Amino acid sequence: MNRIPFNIRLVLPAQLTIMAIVVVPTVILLWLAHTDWQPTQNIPWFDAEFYWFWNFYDLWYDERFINSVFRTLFVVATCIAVELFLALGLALLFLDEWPWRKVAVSIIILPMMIIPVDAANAFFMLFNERGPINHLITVITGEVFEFSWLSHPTWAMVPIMLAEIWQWTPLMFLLVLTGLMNLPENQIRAAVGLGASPARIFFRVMLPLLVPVISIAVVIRAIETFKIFDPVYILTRGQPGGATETISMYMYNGAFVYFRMGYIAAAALLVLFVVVSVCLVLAKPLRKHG
Amino acid sequence: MKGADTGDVKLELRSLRKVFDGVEAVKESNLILKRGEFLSLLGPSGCGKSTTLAMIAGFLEPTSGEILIDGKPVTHVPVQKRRIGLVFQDYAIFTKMSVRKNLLFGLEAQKVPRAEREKTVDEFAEKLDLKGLMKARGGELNMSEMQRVALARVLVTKPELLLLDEPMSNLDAALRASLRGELKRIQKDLGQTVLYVTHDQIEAMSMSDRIAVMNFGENLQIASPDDIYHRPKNRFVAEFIGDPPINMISCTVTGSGRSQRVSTEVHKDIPFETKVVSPGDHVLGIRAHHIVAAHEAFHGSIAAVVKLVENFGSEHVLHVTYGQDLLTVMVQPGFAREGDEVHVSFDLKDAHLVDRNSGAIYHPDEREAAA
Repeated sequence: MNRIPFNIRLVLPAQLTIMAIVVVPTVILLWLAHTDWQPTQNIPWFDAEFYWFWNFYDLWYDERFINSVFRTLFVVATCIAVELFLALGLALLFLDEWPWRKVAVSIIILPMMIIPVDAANAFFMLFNERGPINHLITVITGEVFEFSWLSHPTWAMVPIMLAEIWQWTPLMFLLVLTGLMNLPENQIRAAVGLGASPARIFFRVMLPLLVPVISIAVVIRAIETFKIFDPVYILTRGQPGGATETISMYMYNGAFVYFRMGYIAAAALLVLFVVVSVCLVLAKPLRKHG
Repeated sequence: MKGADTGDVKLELRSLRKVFDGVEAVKESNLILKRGEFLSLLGPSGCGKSTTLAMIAGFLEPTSGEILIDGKPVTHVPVQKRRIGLVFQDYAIFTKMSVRKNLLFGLEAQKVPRAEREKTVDEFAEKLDLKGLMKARGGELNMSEMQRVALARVLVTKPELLLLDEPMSNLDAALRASLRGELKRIQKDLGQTVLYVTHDQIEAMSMSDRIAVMNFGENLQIASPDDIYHRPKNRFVAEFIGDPPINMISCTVTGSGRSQRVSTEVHKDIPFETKVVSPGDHVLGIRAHHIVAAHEAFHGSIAAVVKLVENFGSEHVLHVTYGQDLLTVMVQPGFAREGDEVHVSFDLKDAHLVDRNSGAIYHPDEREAAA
């Protein structure tokens, strides 16, 4: 035992843990992605037949998979754009001291603390056929409005994205607010002294200085939103007819409803590749500051 | 009819006061800044000079009092409308913009027509030697370039008044010396009215037309650098200005009126009429270069032991014992070494008599008036 150097002994537990929870599953994933293993076949996964790259070939022609990828990208882009816009606006309101400011910040970040499944469930009830949203529209228009949001192939995406935006704008808000509060104050004072309007100061001085913080916020949220699952599962489970299926939902259905483990492992590999590429592009503004 | 007395006044502070949580940061400040004048607010950290500046700029609302620019009250005018140029301690260059964009910023904000703003920017780029830097980004500049860009950025907007808040305190000594000259030259060229805040007496002395010395929120003396140095009005001003610091020697005042006399270790009962300082123990302020030192005893001298020699290059400063006090004496290099005995004295007419109780200093020609 003494032959192992002290520094190695220090890092060994952490290394072994990482091996166990990251490397081993990744290797298994790599293997499964090249088999057609299904738990229902009654053979252990390591005995599955090697399937070469046929899974990837099938995925390429799997419209449901391709659609779920593009649908997810659309959700990511929309949610992050809305969240960023809201977060910037809110953060600007919170830049100055005002009474109850701290309490208001706590209230704003509350959604973030709620368990995602619960939050999604709230939106499930809100957008029910006889739920408060339809009731509100009925009251406003004076005509009975009983639209079935969650079973409409297009409109069902709205409650899903709203749930996501409602829950995660607070995180974006916190990050942007921190960034705003740490901006070099004298640059802003200098701009004020030069007679610039608030809009000019925001767009010409503050926003360029905020780019690194916004990039980080967007990358964090992009990675998270890419994996969006809870609202989809609770609100529609990807229905009707896969019209609201995001990548995570697609993989859940494939793996745990249709039990196509090998095929979904291949899909997971592809998705990993897409996420990493997108994040590398989004994180580009950060590299100059590294 | 425009009165000459108002036409010449650029900035006036009338009983300007600022209280923070019950603490008086600025007390009843009165100040007049003439057109084209370079005035420094000089004082230690926390003396209220930056607070005064922030009120003039408009970032702070005064508790009471008035600020007038060109005779018009601006106390409640927002910062953007005061037409005041600001240069900050960190220069606050817009780091994400090119130098040209930095210079254009104020003119664009004030909606100056394109042709005119390009022309003005080019003109000031020439004047401040920024031609070669116009494409550089704000974040890439060195300190000297940043100072020039910060100046050019406000000067292009032709500000009524230029406020500089300790613009050199982040710099090393050599750079400071060269930037002092540069700043003074630009100010003179343009005839720009400047209010300069600093805690550095050399900056204030070398650049200012007048200096306002502040402490604990109070304007203690507003006068030319010469008067501040040679005719300080009170103990704080006398001690704050000068390197080495002025010597403070204990003395005794006897008698009153025309028969008033002063005694120190070397002076016995010398007539020294003040009328104001009451009899008793007081303090004499005398600068190091006014003290005469010799190797041999001379008329009125006393013997003193050199405790320390400070090398200032062209001069040496001796720290010698003088009764219970320690004196600094300015001498030629090589005059004495530590442990040597020297003979020192000074002429009473070079000394300032400081009232021990009030700290006030009365100069011979003011004594009549003050009395």
